[in-house]
Amino acid sequence: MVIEKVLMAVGAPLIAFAIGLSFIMLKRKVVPRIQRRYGPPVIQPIYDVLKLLLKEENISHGIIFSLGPIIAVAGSILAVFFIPMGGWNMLSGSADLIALLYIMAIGSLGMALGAGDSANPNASIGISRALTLMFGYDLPLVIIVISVALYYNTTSLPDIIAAQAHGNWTAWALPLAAIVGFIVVYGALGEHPFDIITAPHEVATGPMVEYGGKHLGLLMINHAFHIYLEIALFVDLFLGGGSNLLEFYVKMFVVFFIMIFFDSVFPRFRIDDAVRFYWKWPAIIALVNLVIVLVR
Amino acid sequence: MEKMTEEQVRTIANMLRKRSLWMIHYCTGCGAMELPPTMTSRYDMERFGMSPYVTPRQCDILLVTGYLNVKTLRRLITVYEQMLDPKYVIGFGSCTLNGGVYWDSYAVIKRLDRYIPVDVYIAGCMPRPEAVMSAFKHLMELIDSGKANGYKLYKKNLAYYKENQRKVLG
Amino acid sequence: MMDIVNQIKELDNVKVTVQRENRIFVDVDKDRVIGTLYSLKLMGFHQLSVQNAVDWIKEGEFEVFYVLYSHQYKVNVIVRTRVDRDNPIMETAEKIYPSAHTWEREITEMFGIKFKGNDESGKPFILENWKEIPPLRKDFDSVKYCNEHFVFRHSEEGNE
Repeated sequence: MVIEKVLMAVGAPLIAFAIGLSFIMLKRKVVPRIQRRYGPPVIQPIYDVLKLLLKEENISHGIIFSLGPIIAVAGSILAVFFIPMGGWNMLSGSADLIALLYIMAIGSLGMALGAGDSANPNASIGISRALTLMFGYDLPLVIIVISVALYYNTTSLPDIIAAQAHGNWTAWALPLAAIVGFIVVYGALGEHPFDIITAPHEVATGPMVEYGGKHLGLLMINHAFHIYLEIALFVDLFLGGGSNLLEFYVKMFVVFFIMIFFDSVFPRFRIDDAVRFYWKWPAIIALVNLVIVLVR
Repeated sequence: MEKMTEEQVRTIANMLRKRSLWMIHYCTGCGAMELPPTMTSRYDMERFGMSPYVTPRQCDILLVTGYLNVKTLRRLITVYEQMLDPKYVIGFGSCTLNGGVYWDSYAVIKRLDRYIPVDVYIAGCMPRPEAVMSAFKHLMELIDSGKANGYKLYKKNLAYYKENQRKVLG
Repeated sequence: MMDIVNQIKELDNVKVTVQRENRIFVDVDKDRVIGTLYSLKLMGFHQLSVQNAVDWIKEGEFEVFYVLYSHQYKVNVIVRTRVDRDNPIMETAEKIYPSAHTWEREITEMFGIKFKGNDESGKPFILENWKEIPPLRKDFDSVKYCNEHFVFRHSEEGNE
């Protein structure tokens, strides 16, 4: 019993990191093929992160500046323990969904703390845009989560997964919620239509502008965890989780693969256009879905 | 696990650094026109692991493309000193070599390596993308053999560089 | 286009030359240039494209010219005046065409012509810490300046 718990505690973040890293590698090979060229070798993200961790100098503006990436990574690792990973229900219990919505915001707030201490106006503009975007996509996200919880009469994720066994997934029962959930994942990850957070041409990569060397390596590791978190939540809520790790990974792979194709053809929204978009059509569809669930 | 010697660590570090170089191209002059063809689909630069990033804190290579005014030199030195070690500088085109087309102009500096240490020069006005890629390959070989030491020279001869800068910038 | 030419000829003390279609030269004295610009703006020439100067060193004069364009008639009008080279002071055209503010800053730095009424005209614009004569005058030797202040790279014989 104790051995199994220790194994879960150490193994779960490592497996999450490996899954996130494999998705980053996949993206760096598929997007160049869409653009009719060969991309970098498949293990390029590993070279990037190791090179950053081996830089000889390190510039720091103070203690809070260095704490920013650490809080972000810590928040992401904490949230990994609350999402069931293909049969392992680690800390999930009742009232999961509500707790998750709060814990997933720790990462952005940690970055905001760190970026506020760097003496660069680009960082403050970037982080204020990131928080505004979070304000935008939280509205459809909360409505969907409430409608799914009302449909199953429970807020604990293992129960929701158990109720979707044998192929009656939430995606067939509530298709509108699945579509809106798919659009919200783009905003949460910072993928292409909602790329405004770290746009290199507009805000010189936003909050990451003064970080270099080891801090930047930590931020890339955080990005890998973040990708795993969002897609795992989507798969657990709408596509029935997975009874073992292989089935879980295959479902996540398919979802991410479809996401890449939309990601590589869209340009960027402005920040006020993005919030206006989220509060118009996805919010209306989510409200329609909520009404359908209440009426039934 | 046996302890790795410093020699082995340096070899691994050089192997990693040469496979993922990040560049900031400071488009001082007309030479920057040759960078979009190198970066996009035809002469793809990303397959070597190089990609453009925007802030000096995140990058390894500074590309000085084309002529440099005295006014721009002051800002370029600030950018160079903000980059983190180890860093490399590539001088593009013949204006960084000996003045190029603007050899008799009162506002353009003539030799770049009196103010900043330069690792690789590319000759031409403008160099074609094939010449640019062969220069990147040459830089990777220099990194591998441990000879790309521009940043160490800057720290060692700081007085020499600072005196030259002060003489031209006033 | 010919009715525009006739309208301009009715202004006093101007000399009008037509070089080719849609390009008209107007020569005026130094004291009348602001009045001419104002009348041309009322006629419909709302855009000042370029304002710059030419150094006629043998005649001892500077020539300042303004290129105006009208989108309605699609005609360019170039207004030229002459200023004495030893003491060049002119009136500013900033109140009529606001973009003349920046053009005049550049002319003051490169030629040394002062513009009365333009309050930022003396501040350094492109050259910083400049101690010589204004560089676009014809008696400024650029090669001598380069050999004094910059160092060239040594190259072998026959490679120049």
